[in-house]
Amino acid sequence: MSKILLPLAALIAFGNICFAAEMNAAQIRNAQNSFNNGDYLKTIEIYETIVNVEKIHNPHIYYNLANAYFRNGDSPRALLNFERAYRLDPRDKDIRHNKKYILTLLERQDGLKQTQESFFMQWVSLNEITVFESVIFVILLLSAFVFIVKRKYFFKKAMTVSTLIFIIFLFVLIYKAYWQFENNAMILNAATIENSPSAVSQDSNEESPALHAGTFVHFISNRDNWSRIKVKIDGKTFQGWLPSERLGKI
Amino acid sequence: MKKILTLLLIVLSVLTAFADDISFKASVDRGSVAINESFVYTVTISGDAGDFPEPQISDLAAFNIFSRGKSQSLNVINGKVSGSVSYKYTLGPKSAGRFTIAPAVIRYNNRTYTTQSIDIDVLSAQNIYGGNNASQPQQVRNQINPQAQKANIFVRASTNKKTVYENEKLVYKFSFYTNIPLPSNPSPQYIPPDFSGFWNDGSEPTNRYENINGISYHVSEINTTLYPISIGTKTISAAQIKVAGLKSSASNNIDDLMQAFFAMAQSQGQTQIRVLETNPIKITVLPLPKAGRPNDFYGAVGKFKISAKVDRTDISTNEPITLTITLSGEGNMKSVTRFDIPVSSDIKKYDMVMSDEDDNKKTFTTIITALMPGEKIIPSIKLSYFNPNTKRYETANTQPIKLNVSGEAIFPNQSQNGSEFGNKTDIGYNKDIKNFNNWRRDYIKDKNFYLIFILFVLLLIGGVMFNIFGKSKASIDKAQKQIMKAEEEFKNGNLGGLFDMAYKALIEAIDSKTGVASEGLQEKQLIENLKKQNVPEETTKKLYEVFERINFYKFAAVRADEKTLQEMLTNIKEIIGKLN
Repeated sequence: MSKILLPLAALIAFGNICFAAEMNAAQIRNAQNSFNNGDYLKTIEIYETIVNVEKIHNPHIYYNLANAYFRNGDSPRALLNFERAYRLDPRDKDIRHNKKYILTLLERQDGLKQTQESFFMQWVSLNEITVFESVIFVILLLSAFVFIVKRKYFFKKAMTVSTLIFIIFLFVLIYKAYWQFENNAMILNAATIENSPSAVSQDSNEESPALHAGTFVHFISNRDNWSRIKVKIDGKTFQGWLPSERLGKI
Repeated sequence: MKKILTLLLIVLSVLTAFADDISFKASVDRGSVAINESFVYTVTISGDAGDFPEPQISDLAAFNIFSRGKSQSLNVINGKVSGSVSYKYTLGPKSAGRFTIAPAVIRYNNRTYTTQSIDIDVLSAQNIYGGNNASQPQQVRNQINPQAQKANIFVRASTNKKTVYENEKLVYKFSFYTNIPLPSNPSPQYIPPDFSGFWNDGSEPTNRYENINGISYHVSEINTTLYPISIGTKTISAAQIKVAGLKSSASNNIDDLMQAFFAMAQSQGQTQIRVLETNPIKITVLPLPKAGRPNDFYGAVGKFKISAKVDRTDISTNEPITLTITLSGEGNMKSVTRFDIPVSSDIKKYDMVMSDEDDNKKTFTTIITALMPGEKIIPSIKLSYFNPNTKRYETANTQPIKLNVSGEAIFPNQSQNGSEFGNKTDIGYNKDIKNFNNWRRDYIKDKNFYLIFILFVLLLIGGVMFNIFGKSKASIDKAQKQIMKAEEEFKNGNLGGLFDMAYKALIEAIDSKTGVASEGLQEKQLIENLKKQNVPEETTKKLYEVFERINFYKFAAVRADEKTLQEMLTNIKEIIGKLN
């Protein structure tokens, strides 16, 4: 019985994979056709479905989605998706160019001043640093193991070098992760921080500056349709509430 | 004196520069109007701004307000915005005479502006039907001569449809027929029906003549545009008209009414009011189908067309052009209040202003400027609506408009550093996605990612445990085996082998005690390492002596006697035992 069931299950699984691949290809074709026909809303709808419903996390999908938003005149959402694509694939020339292009437009049009990572950090993704650091950590563990068992001096040296590299890149990893953690959301519509999550009170924080569309903020929590955020501007930290529709999580 | 004059001129010029350049005017399309006609009263605000408050219109109680509308225009010249807003009221007089429309008032930037008052002459029915009215055809006037034919007067109500969809345009028509001139004071008074369940979009009075059974009637009509706001069966109640000079009677017989009317007219000015009433009308309102409803459908019902045009297509960067979208057709135009113009982000668009031209046409204008040179496209603009005739949702589209933009990109630092984007004046084109692999989200947030380290950490722990428990015993065993080999070498008389084995046995034992590789280290260093492991000085001293003796007999030309060698082996065994 199992001789029949196992191949059957494998066949069904293979069929499902082929069907899903064909569905995905059809979605991409539809999105591209809509884009070419100038139906940017349809393009956005298709790509948003891929991202939010099918939970696909791919820099090229984010890139094309951002292009559709840009063509539809929605610069902040375009920038949000370019940022998502950039964080996955920071050395892609098109992603870097488009992100810079739209960032400059927003700086010019709205006076946006977006905080940037240090120059070297702009060329590597968090996952790349994480994987590198993990490999170094594994080398460190193996060196330690071999040294303990075999007492060979070479492995003691390897352990020392890998420990040094591990510590250096641990700082890099912490910096990168902290930067992305602190800038985990983006303002989509110009907003002012409120002291409480209520549209009625309109209890604006008197000192808080107006947040331009495209500004990085740190998302803390949600309550109803309000989001608690923290943002640092000109060395000052402001904390408060915004309507959630004005915020996009990266 | 000259200085004072110069100063005054400067002050005046500054004051003039800061003064609000606003024009606030009121006008009517005609100065005199017949009692059964309508006229348009327009209030216009214009100036160097785009957002004016709504003016306070004075009391218009002397008139029926048939409709009201608003139109706007906006201009941007050298980055300066100027605009004008017009409020139009279609008014119908309630009685004959001379009336004054009081000034309208607006408050803007802490200043109050008023329009001029306007006088309107309302002509009576006699004027209309008499010789004063030059526009009245003589033939028609003769036709309704009351002495030439039998008098008749009645009302009718009708709608263009009995079954409509929600938000579909419905026209309610009230018609007042008369073949006799009516007294002007008081003039007939129209009491509209109850339009509950409908949104009343205003009324439009018209006058015409109609021949019924050889008798010519003057027909005063009031067309009211309605839009059902909820589904189900709705009833439009009876409309009424109060006519002076008709004696109240239980009979609705027209002949009786006319006799009563003339009887009254011949009495000494005693006026009686007669109420004429239409029948109520039942309307069935259907819901809009849910099947096939587009996402961008916002309630437009009817049949529409849209077109778009710009005032020029060859422009420079930052040069404003006007994009005009014209909506025409039949339906609830009022539900369309704006269009989404899907221009890319390197085209700047300003607020859209809307103008109601008439019931069947509406225009939307906006100013746009291109920020980057090159060929830019204003894509097709769409309107989704429900067509009650085809019972389907349809979409009206405009044609895409191509703009040729010259000049320099509007970017900061452009002039100093050249283009920071090279020759590219647009965003990069879409990626050709063959397959979309799901990229890993941040490993650092993934708990499963850390599982791979468990194997290596366990391996390390195993190594440490082996070092602590297993290796020590193994080393001692090895050391003891080497001692046994040394004894064999001693028995065989191979002294070289004896010293080598003895030395290795000691090193193995020291390795086991100190946990570090001792091979190659100086004897003094070995002793130091052992002292760090709290090995008694007596043992280390003995060990040092053994090392010296081994080195002495190994390299000196003196042969050790049997007793000495036996004693050395005994000492080595004792040291290994103590280090264990």
